[in-house]
Amino acid sequence: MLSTVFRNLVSKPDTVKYPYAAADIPSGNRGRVEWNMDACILCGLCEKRCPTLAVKVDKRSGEITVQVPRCIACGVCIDVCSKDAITMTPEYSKPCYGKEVRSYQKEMKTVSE
Amino acid sequence: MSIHANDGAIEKIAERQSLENVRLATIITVDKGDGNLELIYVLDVNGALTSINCEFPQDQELASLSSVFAGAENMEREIIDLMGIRFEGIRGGLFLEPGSSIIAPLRKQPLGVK
Amino acid sequence: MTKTTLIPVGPQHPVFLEPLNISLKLKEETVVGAEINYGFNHRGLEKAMAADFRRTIYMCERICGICSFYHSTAYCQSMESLFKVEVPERARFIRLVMMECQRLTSHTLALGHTAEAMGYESLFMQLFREREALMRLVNDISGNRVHYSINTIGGVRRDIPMEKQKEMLSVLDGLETRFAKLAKVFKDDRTIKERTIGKGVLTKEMAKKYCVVGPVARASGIPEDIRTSYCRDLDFQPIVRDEGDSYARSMVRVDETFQSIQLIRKALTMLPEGPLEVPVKGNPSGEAFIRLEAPRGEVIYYVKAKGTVDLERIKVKTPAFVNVAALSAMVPGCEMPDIPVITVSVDPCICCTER
Repeated sequence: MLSTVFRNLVSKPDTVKYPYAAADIPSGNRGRVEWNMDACILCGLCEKRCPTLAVKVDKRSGEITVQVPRCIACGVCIDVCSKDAITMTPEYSKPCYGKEVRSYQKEMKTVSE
Repeated sequence: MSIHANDGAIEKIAERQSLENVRLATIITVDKGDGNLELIYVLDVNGALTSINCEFPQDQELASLSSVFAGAENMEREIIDLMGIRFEGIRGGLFLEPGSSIIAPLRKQPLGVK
Repeated sequence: MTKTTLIPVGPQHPVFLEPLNISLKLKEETVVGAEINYGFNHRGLEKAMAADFRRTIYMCERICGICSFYHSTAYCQSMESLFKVEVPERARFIRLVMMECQRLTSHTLALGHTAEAMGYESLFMQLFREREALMRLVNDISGNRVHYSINTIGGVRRDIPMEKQKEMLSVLDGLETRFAKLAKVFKDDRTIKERTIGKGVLTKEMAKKYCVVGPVARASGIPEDIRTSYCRDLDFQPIVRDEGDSYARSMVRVDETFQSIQLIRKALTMLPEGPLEVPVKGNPSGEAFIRLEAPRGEVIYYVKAKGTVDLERIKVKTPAFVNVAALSAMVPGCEMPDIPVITVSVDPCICCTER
């Protein structure tokens, strides 16, 4: 035990001063989910298979909305996406005032007359 | 001395317990949907799972297994709360608060609030 | 001529992480009887889980935060037996590795909590520092610290590639040497010994009567471990002690952490090549019993389905449900100040107990 005391006296703390310093998140972590709307074909599979009903796909207006607090970062949407349009980056969701809702808009081709 | 629907099952368990290395793993109840409930005693006999079933009408009182296994008492208390089955000499109130919770929420048609 | 005093411990008590109430009957300082009450936290998950069978995997994980992977594995195995598919060998080994990792995190938490309950704060801090290295490792491999979410019906969704295996082995090597020093403190420290040896004895007869499982049963001399069949190709022997007291329960956990590290090493060297999952089609029907050895003991899943998307009935038997009830057989004869240590040595998990 005495060696531990001396080691702890000279060593740096084991904790990270998050949020002032970057959090120590390993690269394999699943976190923030993002849609690449150029690749997305609005098939709606991610909405169908999301276990917490966090994703809504509006095929008519080409908009995808994600209720961020509902997302459990399970990664099912990434697995079912046939176009690999969904990615997850290792990042924790930041504290915010309201329930964050993110939306992604697909450029709809307007049919010219 | 009244006769309960699960007397035979309890007798069978007590008999096996005296002969072999038996542990009560769990008690499962299933609502059959036609007014009958099913009680499944899951036993660990020498390291393998076996089950003893019995079926009975839903408003019948059953005998308790707690004289054979003391650990069965809490399992039965859970069933009283969640399935609305009565066991002789066992009171509910483990998971749900009597008087303000739904009665028998795990049945197909919960009995509502008292 | 002494009067009997009734003292409630809990539901809010500094030593319990979750609400648990013990009504103690005392004669002077000695406990003569106890009644265990739980149910302050019931969430009705069994009702909620009888829904879409694919979404239920993620709900199962949320039964408990410390043994989440066991719940999802047991559920996935029961669904696989309903669909009558065989999981690929590589998926079975990855599940085994992740389960043993979770056993390590759970046992270090239980041991740290025991140390904290005894007032041994520095040991608690050091155990949790080692645990943090482990949590970071499982985060890197599975994608999350607590709810791994890598199970799916028919296999697993994430592979453990070669470089991750190497990293895992090097982390485990470091952990083993550092943990051996802490285990020595647990084994030999005078304070710990005096506070745990001979306290809260559960005899073999009482253990059988209360149907206890897991480390509590193995500390009372019942050689019962479901891993003997699940880890059949890994030469597994359960760790058993005969004393049945708090010290034996902690020691079973200490020895099992080293055993888990050995199992992970063996499983990683034997990791077969092959696919990760087999596809399943249609809806499940029939009924299935599956059991696994979670850190606290046996988890049983009973699933009944009738060929629809929604499940008919799902019943979860958790180990803490029976182990906590056995406290009423352990505490009589003890002194009042020993109650927290005895309670924590059982590793009560109220999340599991009440679902």
